Amino acid sequence: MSRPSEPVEPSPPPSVSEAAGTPLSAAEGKNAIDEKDEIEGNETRQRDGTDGGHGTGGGVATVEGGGASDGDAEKEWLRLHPLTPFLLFVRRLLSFALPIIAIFFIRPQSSWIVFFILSAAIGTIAGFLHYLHFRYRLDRDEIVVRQGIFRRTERNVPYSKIQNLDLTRDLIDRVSGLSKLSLETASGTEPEAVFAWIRPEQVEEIRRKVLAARSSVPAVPGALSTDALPPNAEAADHDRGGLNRGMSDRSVSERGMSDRGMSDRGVSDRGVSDRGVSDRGVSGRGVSDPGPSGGRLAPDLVSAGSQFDASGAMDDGRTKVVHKVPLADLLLLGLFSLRGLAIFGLALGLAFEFDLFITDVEDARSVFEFLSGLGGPPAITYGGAAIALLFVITLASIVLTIVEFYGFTLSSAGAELRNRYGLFTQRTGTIPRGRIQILEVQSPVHLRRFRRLRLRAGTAGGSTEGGAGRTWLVPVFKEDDLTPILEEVQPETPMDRRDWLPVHPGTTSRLRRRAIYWSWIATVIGVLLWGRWGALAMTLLPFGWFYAKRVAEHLAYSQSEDAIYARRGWLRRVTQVVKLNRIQAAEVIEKPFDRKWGMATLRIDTASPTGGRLEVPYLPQEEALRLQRELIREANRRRFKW
Amino acid sequence: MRVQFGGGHCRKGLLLALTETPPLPTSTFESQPPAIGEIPADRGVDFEPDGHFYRIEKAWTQVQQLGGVFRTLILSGILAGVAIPLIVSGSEPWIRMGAPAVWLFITVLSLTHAIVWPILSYRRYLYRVDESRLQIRRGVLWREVLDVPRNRIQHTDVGQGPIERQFGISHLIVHTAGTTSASVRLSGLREDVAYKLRDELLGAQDVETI
Repeated sequence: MSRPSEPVEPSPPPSVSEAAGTPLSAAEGKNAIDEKDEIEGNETRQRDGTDGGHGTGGGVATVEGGGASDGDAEKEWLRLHPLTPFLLFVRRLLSFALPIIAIFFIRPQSSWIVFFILSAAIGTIAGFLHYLHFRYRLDRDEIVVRQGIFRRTERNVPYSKIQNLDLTRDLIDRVSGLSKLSLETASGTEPEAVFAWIRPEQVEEIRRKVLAARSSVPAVPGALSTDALPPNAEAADHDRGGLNRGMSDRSVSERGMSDRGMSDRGVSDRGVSDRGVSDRGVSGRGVSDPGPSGGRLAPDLVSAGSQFDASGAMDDGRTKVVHKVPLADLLLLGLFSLRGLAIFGLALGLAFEFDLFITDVEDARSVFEFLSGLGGPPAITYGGAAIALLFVITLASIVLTIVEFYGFTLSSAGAELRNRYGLFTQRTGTIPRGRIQILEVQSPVHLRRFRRLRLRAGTAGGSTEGGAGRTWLVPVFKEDDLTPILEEVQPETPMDRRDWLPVHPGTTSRLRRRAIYWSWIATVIGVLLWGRWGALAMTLLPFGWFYAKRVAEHLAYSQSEDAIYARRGWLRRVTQVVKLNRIQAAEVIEKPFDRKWGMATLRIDTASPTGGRLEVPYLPQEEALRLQRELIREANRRRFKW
Repeated sequence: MRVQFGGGHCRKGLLLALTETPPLPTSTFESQPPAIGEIPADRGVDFEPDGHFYRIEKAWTQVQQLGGVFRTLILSGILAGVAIPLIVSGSEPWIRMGAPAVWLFITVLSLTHAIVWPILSYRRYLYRVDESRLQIRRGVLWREVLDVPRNRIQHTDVGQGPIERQFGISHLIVHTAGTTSASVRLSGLREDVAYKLRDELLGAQDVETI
């Protein structure tokens, strides 16, 4: 039994436990949460033991019968350090100290002082209540945190799911000798639990358990042995924190233990123990640079960053260039991008703002007069002006595109992909392969003519890195290059699939019917607004008719052993792929209009926060449910890792 | 409210937990899952991880209704704050007449919704757990069938709001690394059922993964 040698507060004074117990049992006498306390307060400390334990009629009876086991229960549940309310108070006082002193000297009679004192008092009471209601327990497989006053929650976090342990020690913490620990899983952006404050021994125990859970987990490719971490690394951190940084606030992020942190940076990051560099600023991670301003320093991240810098370029032998975008392709991309339009809009806006341009009818007339003053037939004059404008916008688009993407290079280095691009400010991005949740090949109609595609990835990241989101893996490339690029990016999911399955056969009819309804609505509105001319909205109908056919034809999905594919769109065709082990959940939705047609939408959720969703609309309902069932069964057989 | 329940299944649960073999019902992967539109047959509220559908507590309806009534009160209070000045000092007669009418209309509509909607949703609110997933079926107009694979569950919350406490029910929140399904909430569970469900979902996680 790995109880801490010095428990934080095994048996608080009776009054405290009374107070803590009151809201729990306020509603209906003794509550099941309380009962659970006692049932789980047995010697085993194992979930297994409790699985059958609570919920049995016998268990309830025992509890109601005897409150004698109360002491045992308290032993199991740990509290924050009793100094917590005091530290919260001190912290609040410090944060209010400056304004209070200032006000005191400037306007001693000011009622603001009352306000500050009041809010400090309220904050302190809140802190005390937080302390009273916060309890946690270190079980065999998971950590259990119970908190909340009105809205009580009990949170179970399995050790094996913990990605990050962040340890913060600022001045107050160091004086008190206590630590603030936050733990994060792959879920959400907020830490899943914050322990402020607990003893360093407790931190050590939690860390040990997390590490143990990690090593007991079946070998995961990419997860390096956690033994690389010196067992007392964190203790060393404490010392160094005290020595190096003097009195300034600092935080140490226990990234070394995270599966994610390690697999991302590949083998080179064995040097987690090279802590000497961690006080330096981070650079070279490009877009997803956590930066020192975040108040977090991740030792292994930093060492990776500095190594990255030291090598200057990314071509350090192990990297291999996957694709380099030639200038001609960028030209093509810029030709049809509407970047220039944005500049045009901006210029227009500025001109209006500073009165440099057309501000009223008079000025507009003067422009027209100027144009007609040039002589020649008006059609040619105005047409020429429009073409000139278009030309300028296109030119601006091309220039902007080239400035942004100049020399775009995607290279692969061990477990990660890197892209580097930009003419003036060169940007570099690091995309660990394991972080890719969804791949998207885009084929916009203008590039399709030139047999060019675009490849985008939706990535996931923890709260510590801003790297999650969508990134261009290659902004434009030849169709023939798709296979070799994918070979490097995600070889398991070739995208030149043949076995596409169609969606519901009624899709075309449904889309056409929708086109009819909408063109009616548009016509009615048009006629109401503009009279006879509004009827022109009816001309939308043939377009909608044609559109329905093309969209329905292109909508399809495909399954492979490793992934699910979906394609959609007409003018802007998109093909997406999600590997089965990246599926987080699957949802089949029947919208009101689906009901009549027997259709449903299948929606697959991944960990990529933006655009990380794969959707197949207009599926036959049985097919959607079958697909969902199969995908979930497969997803459940595969481990999700970062 | 003290709920009674049998002890037999729990003994089974303990045995299974010790031998670390999750329950693998054969009925789980029925050849064709029940259609989205139909309300599948359920086995009441005493949850078992056997792949059958279970219902949430009927009291959930009242919790929702009560919450809805509270929201209606707040809404109509705010609206009254807008309407009363208009009634008192409205420049036009139609404003003086219209303001209370609109207020009444919105309040009645909101109240009706608060009372009726939970009853409708309750009918279609079912869940089940089988060897690979937690499935929740719900929704009246937009009907959804949500599947969460067991081993994607990152952590769980069992919680109880102030109104829920009055009715002795809890909710379970299952957190995944996903985006739209980052936290999946299953409401209206009896407290012991919530804990049982949680133990079931967290317990047999890392079995049989590739």
